[in-house]
Amino acid sequence: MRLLLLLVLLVTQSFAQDKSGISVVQFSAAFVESNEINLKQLKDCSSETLHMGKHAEVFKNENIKYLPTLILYHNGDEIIRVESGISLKLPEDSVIIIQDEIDKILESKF
Amino acid sequence: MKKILALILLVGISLNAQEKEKGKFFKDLYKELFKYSTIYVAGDINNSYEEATKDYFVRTNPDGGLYDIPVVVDGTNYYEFDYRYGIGVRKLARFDYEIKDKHYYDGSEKNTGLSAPTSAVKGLEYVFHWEKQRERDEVFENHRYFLRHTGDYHIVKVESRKQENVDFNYNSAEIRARLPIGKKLSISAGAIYRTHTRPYGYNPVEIWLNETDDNGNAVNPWYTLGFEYGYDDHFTTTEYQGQTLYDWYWTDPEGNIVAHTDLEFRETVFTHLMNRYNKEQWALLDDFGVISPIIGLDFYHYKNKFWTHMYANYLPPYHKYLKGDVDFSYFNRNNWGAGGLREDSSHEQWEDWQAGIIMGWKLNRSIGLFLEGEYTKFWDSEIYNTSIGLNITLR
Repeated sequence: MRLLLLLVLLVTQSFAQDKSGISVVQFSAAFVESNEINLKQLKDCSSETLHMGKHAEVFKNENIKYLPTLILYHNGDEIIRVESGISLKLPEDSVIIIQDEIDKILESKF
Repeated sequence: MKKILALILLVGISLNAQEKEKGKFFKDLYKELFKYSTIYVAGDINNSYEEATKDYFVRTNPDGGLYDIPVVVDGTNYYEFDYRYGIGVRKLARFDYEIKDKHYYDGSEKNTGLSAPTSAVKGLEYVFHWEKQRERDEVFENHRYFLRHTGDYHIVKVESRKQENVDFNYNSAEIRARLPIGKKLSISAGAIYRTHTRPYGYNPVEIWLNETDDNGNAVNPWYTLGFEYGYDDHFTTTEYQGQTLYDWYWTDPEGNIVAHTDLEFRETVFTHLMNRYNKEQWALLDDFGVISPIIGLDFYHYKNKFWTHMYANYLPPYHKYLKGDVDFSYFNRNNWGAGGLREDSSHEQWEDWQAGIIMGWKLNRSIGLFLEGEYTKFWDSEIYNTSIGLNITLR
């Protein structure tokens, strides 16, 4: 019974905030929405865009200083962070930088 | 003229676009099929098995008699060196808790991904490995062909495995619908087709020996198996302390004495004959092919300090044989009696299953706990392996 409960807890926890596997999160806000990048371009990862207004606590925990910011996670560990800086624009090669890191992670699994 | 130029330009652009499309198609195909795959050729040589003690026996000196100095002969079995060489190509992802044993692949790898229902990455995975090996002077040919495609909502898998040194030959193909529940848990259900060469539950020699006539007497007394293979028994008597003792001594087809009494024959030669008879009878049967429903479960959670991977496959008792003689199939494993298959018997279904667990817990920088285990019960065959341990690193 305890094992079942533990299993249910682990599964439901995974819904709440999933950083398992390879995932990319774009930390952004409504006022820089036009500067966000399309995360669907990235392959072999799950992705999500979080807005500061709704997830202020997460922004604080992840120490987000610039908007937008992209963070690549692997099993919950931060692998790389791409920040927009004071220009509020992500570097043009952001997708390439992140995708390269994803490919490196994948390659290490084979 | 302008129209012709426009037409050429249009055709040119169209061809260029087609070529680009074609190029993209082949690029994507290459990525799907070969990206991260490894082609390898590998081999190893090891010294062969050496017996712990040497066996010696003496032979009568050809120039002398029984009581002259005999010739001491080394009767120990010596084997040529063992070897293994093979060729393969693989694209099979490791789970995060699996560490690459070596800096290279040589076909001896054992990955959880080969038995767990789902994979470490989505998409196409495969292993095509062929090898030849020599072990104790016997040469074997083995292979493992494995192909799987995993998606969010499907699993398709085809596998063929042959390990001649343990007489293992297994083929399977399965297709399942997969339902992910969150990112860590998934359940799947579908159908699997498996083959088996061994007629589980069918023991020909036992049936042959147990056959009785209407009076309950054995139709095939045990010693008649010897006659079937050209052995013969001979009546003999011995005088001992005024008593006449009698028995039967046995000769092989060449007339050499192989046992001095019935009891000795039964305990030595007869045992080999039983196995020989069974092998011959089993060889008369075709391979079996059975289709079954399959339900799978897979839970995977990985963090650097704690990880767990649990998986299970359950094959409920709704099997159907598509290949092989059903009379000799696993359906009748309990239906054999004196005289063969019982007439009033009915097919008996069974349950097969497989489960595995891998857990690791790094309590702190110095202490780590781990547990690994897998159990498989397919037909009469049970395979299990477990390891549990505690690691303490001194700093």
